[in-house]
Amino acid sequence: MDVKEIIFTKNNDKLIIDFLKQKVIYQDIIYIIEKDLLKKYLKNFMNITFNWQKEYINNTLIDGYSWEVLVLFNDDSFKKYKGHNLTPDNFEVLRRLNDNLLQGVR
Amino acid sequence: MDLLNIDFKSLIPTLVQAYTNVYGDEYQDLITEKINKAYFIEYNNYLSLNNYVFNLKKVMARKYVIRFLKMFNIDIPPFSDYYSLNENDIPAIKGIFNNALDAFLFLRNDIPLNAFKEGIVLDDNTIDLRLQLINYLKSDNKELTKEKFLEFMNSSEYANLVKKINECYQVYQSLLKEYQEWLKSLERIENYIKSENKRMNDILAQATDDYMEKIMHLLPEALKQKGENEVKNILFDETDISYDCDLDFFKSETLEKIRTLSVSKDSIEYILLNHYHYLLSLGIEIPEELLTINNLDDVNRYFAFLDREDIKKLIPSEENANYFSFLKGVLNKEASKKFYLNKPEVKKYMSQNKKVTEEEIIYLCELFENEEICVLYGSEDGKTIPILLYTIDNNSFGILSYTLLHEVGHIIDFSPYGSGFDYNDSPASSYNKAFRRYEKFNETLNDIFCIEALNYLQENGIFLIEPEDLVIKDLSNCNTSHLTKEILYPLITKYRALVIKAKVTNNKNELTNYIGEDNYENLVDCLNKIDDLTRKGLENRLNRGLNDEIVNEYYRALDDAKQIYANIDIYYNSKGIKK
Repeated sequence: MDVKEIIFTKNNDKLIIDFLKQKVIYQDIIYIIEKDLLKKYLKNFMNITFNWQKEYINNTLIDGYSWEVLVLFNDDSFKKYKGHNLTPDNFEVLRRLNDNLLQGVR
Repeated sequence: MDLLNIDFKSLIPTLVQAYTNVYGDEYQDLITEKINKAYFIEYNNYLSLNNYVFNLKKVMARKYVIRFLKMFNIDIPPFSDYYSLNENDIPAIKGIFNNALDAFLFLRNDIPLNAFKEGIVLDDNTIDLRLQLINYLKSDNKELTKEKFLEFMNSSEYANLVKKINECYQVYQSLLKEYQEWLKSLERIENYIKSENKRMNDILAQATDDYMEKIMHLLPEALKQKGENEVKNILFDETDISYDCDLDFFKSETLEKIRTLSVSKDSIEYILLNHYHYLLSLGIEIPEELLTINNLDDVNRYFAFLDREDIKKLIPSEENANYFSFLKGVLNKEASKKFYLNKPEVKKYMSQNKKVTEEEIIYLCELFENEEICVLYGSEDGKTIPILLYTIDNNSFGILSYTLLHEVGHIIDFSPYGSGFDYNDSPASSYNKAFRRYEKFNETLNDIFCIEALNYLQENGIFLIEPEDLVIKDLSNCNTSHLTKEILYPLITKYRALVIKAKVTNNKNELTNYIGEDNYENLVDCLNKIDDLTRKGLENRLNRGLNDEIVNEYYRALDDAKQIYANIDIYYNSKGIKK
């Protein structure tokens, strides 16, 4: 299935990757992004999230963070992963991937 | 303030002053004692710091842009609105800078202003850029075309415009120089980011090499013959050991997903895609008809293909694939441990706390990896003490002082059983199992008091961590929604002293004895419901004037809240207890 959009949220921090319009929106700034970069990003994103469960929860801490990764497909179906104070083992790999994407366009 | 090394100790008197002002002088000793007992750990994440620095540059660049635009008598919104400002808001910026907001930031050369630089070759691109600016500045609003441009260059209007532009260019150059000077003040933090980034990449590269070295002899002969470097390229391309490679898609757990059709169609397609990629690197193309799996017959056909002698010898056995995946997991964990244990701030913490065990440090490192900003339970001399983990996360720009004060609010309410109204052993919220039942009630109160403390400091000209011009003033939706805060304002207005006493002493009875246990529970439930609705997009719906089920539920909750407050007043008055 073709991915239309990926929305990555951690607390109030939101990164939107729009594959149709080939743009990345982060902190009020819109970045136009090359198709090849997006293709590479998507390949790595799929790799990272392939084994993720739908939900990761740890409610034993005072405060902490919540996160969500929403993948929207062209046929309007979606996949959602979310968590509170707990993440998949390779969550930081996704952070690095997102960071690389932003570094590539900034 | 040194962002890499915040001096919490020096901030303690100010923190005490702020919360004493909010809670009352009678709590000053308690607040002082609790904050002094807490242990503060600041750690850094280079990815978030990088983002913070980017924001810092962005805001500073906008300051210079505003100063510059004054040359053109253009006023753009005051500094407090910088955060929401973008180039689409101000058409003029496009005319002058092309993309003004990053003109300073990226020191771009393709801005219209630079097209007027002395001695520049007048090529098509230069003319385009000049036209952008001329068309913006021209008084008659008639668009000048490329064809007419050369002719226009001989006019006196053009000469006048160029004179003005040249003056602006001089100012631009001097502001640019100033900005570049300011950039130097970020060198230390940028060096830290660079060195941590490099350290992470080096560790992962080394771990990937270790993995390759350990698996080479177990790989199928055809792959082995290609040599370690080529195999590494096939398996990891531009990635590293932190990613799954083709071999991982041959392990039992993954093959089982196909055999049992227990995952979605696109997940199966993804596994097959990785098999396809792997076999293609060995010169074998999986027939297209095998790459669509809808039923068990398709599954059988696919596995019959993998079982073919000529294919079987090219792919790793399940046993080996399982081992490769396990090994990768171990090496990944080791790499992560190596990175976090060698962080400068962790090394410093370990050298200051000889008693801390490696296990405890590893747990801390896991929290560091997830960028937790929270209060942990620690122990000192047999007593439970709060440990505050503090970091600049991706979301921290402009709210560093708020974040610190919020956590200090929890430290003041801290007890071995929980924080304020929030008890560790309470059940999950009936609306969202990710939260404890009293968590959001306590968080919302904590935010309200935290904002009061912050306002008090700012009104007195005290800015704890970030300077005034970086601070975000509107915190009404920070951490908790203003819609949940509004639910608690009547409680705080009427029963403030009781709320504070119950919160600070971590004893809800100090409040419920006066407002009624049932009323308290109903209020908590009402707040949890509204909190849940905000997570379902309530605010956006309200802003758009929608009138759907979520909005209606919200209005019903507001009615409930009114009734709860009426019941609270009746209960309170019937008890005849003075506030």
